[in-house]
Amino acid sequence: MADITVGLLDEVINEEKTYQSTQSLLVTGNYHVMAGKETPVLKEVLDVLKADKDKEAYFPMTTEDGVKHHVFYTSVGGKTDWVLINVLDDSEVLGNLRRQRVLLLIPSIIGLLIAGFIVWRSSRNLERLREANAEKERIGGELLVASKIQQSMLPRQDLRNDEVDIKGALTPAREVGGDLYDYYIRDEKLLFCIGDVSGKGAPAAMIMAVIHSLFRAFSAHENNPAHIMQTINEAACRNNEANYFVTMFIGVLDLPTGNLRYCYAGHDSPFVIENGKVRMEKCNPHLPLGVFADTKYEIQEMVLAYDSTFFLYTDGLTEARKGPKQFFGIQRVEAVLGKCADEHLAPRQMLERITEEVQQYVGDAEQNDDLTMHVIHYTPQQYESKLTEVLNIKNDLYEVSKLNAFQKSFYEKLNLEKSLRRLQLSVEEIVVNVIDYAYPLGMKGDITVKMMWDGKSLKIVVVDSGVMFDPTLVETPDISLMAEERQVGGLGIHLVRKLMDSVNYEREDGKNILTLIKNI
Amino acid sequence: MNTKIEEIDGKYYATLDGEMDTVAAVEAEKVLKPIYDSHGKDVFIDCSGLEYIASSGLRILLSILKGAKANGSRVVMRGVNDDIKNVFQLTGFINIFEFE
Repeated sequence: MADITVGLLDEVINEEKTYQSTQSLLVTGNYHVMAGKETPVLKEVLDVLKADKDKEAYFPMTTEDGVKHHVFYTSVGGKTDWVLINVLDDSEVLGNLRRQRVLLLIPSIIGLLIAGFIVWRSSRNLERLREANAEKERIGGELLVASKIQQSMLPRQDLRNDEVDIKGALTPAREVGGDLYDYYIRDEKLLFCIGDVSGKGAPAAMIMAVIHSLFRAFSAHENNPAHIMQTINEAACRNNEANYFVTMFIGVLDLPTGNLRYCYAGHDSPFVIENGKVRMEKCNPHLPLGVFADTKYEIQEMVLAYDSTFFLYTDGLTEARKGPKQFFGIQRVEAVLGKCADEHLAPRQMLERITEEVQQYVGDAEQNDDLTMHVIHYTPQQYESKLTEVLNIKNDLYEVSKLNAFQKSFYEKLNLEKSLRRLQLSVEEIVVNVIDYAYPLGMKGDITVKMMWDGKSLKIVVVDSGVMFDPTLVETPDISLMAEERQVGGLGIHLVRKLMDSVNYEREDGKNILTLIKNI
Repeated sequence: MNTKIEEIDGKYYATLDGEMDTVAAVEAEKVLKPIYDSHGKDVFIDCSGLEYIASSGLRILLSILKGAKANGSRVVMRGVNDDIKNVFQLTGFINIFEFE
C-alpha cells in the first residue's frame, strides 16, 4: 500500500466528480492529509472534525465567507483508518432544484394573487351589498315613519254628528302617496277637500303635505271655496320648478241650510246620491293647481237635500286596473254606488263595499296609483224651538237699547240670568257690527233678531239686507300685544267667538244671515 | 249709566256706574274724552258700580290707557266685578290694565 503514490491517490479522489466544485481530501485517522488539495474550505472542515470526532457521515457547514457546504466523509475501509472527505457546494447541488422551485412557485403565486383578488373583490361587493341593504332598511324605516306622519295629517276618524256622517279612506300605492282628503267643521260650516298630486311616492307626498297645510291655513278664515282654491293655486305656482300639479275639489257645506258651494280644479267630478238615485255632479272645467298662477277659479253652488250623499274620489278608483287597458272605470263606480244607494249603506259600509268590488276586479294586480275616497252623508237636524221671539229694529245705534231690553226679557223667561251678561254682550256686538258695516253710511235698513230656545241651546239668528258682510272673517286681534300696540278693531267679534259655541254666516237671497248658538 | 270724572290732588278719578252698552258708551265718551290726554296724571277708574261693558266701552278704556302710557302715567281699575273681569280676560285687557 505504501507504494501507492500520492499522485495516484489524487487522481483517484478527483475521478468522476458529479459536481464540478466538489473538493475532496483523503486524510489519515489523525487528519493528516494523504491526498487532495487542502483548500481553505477543507481546512475548516478538518478543524470541525478535529473538534468533534463523533461527527456523523454527513453534516452541513457554513464557512466564514457565508457559503453553505455539505460535508460527506467516509472511512476508506481495509486496514487503514483513512477517511475520504467530500465537500459539496450547496448552490451547485440544490441550485437547480431552487430554480425549479422558483419556476413552479411563480404560477402558484400568480394563481394565489388572482384568487386573493377575487376574494377581496367579492368581499368588497358583499360589504357594498350589506351597506346597500342597511341603507335600504334605513330608508324603509324612514318611509314607514313618513307614512305614519302622512296618515296622521289626515282627519283621524270618521266624523258623525247630528248633521253629517263622514268617512274617508286613503290607500297609497306605496308607503306614502300624493293623495289627500280633509274635512273639518268650523262654526256650522263643513269644509272639505280631496286632491291628487301628480306622481306618487315620496316626492308627491311632500307636495301633498304642502297643499294640505295650505288648505288648512287658507280655509280658516274663508268660506268661499273659489277664493281658497285661488290662494292655494297662487302659492302652489310659486317656486314650482318641479312642475308638479294637483287636481283638487274644495267644498263648503252650510250645515243648517244644505247650501253647498264648491270649486273644482281639474279633479274627477263627484257623485251625489239623492232619493236613491246616483248622479254625477257636473263641474266647470278648471286647470289643476300649480299650472298658471292667474287661473280663475269659479264657485259652483247646489243644495244638498236631506239624507243625500256626496261621494268624492281620486282617479286611483276609476283607473284601478287588472291588466293593460283594463280599468275599473266610471261605469263600475256608478254601478256600485247604485247598489250602495239601494241598500241605504252608511258611509263606512259604502267604502267597504266599493273597496271590495275594486279588489275583486283587480285581483292580484299590483295597485299602481293612490286610491282615495271621501263620503259625506248629510242629515241635518231641525231645530225645534220651544220659545221663539222676534225683534225688528232699524240700523241705528240707538236701537241697541231696544235690543238689550228685548234680550233681557227673553233670558229672564228662560231663567238664564246667570249667563245674561255674556249672552247680551254677544248679540249686542253682532248687531252693532251689522249696523256699522252692512249698511254703508246713510243707508237705511232693517235688522231682524230672532231668538230661539229648544231646551238645550240658544239659537239667535240676525238677518239684515245690507251689503255682503261676513263678520266671521274679521281677523282675530292679537291680544298678546302691549297697550301701545293694541288696535281697537275686531274686539267685538272676537268676544262673540269666545262667548258663543258657534258663529255661522250665510248669504242667501241678498241677505246676511248670522246664526249664533250657545249650548247652555 | 252714569259717568263722571274728578281731579283731586293732581290725579284723575273716574266713576263708571250702570250698564255701558254701545249707546251708553257714546255718552260716556263725551265725559271721559278730556282724560284721553291725562297730562302725566295718574287715572283711577272706579268700576264698582259697573254692571256691563260692550266692546265700545273697552275702546274708550284703551284710549285712556294709551294716552296715559304716552305720558308715563298709570291707569288703575278699581272694583271690577267678575263678569267684567271675564271680558277683560277674553280680550287680553287683563294684561295691559292695572287692577286694585
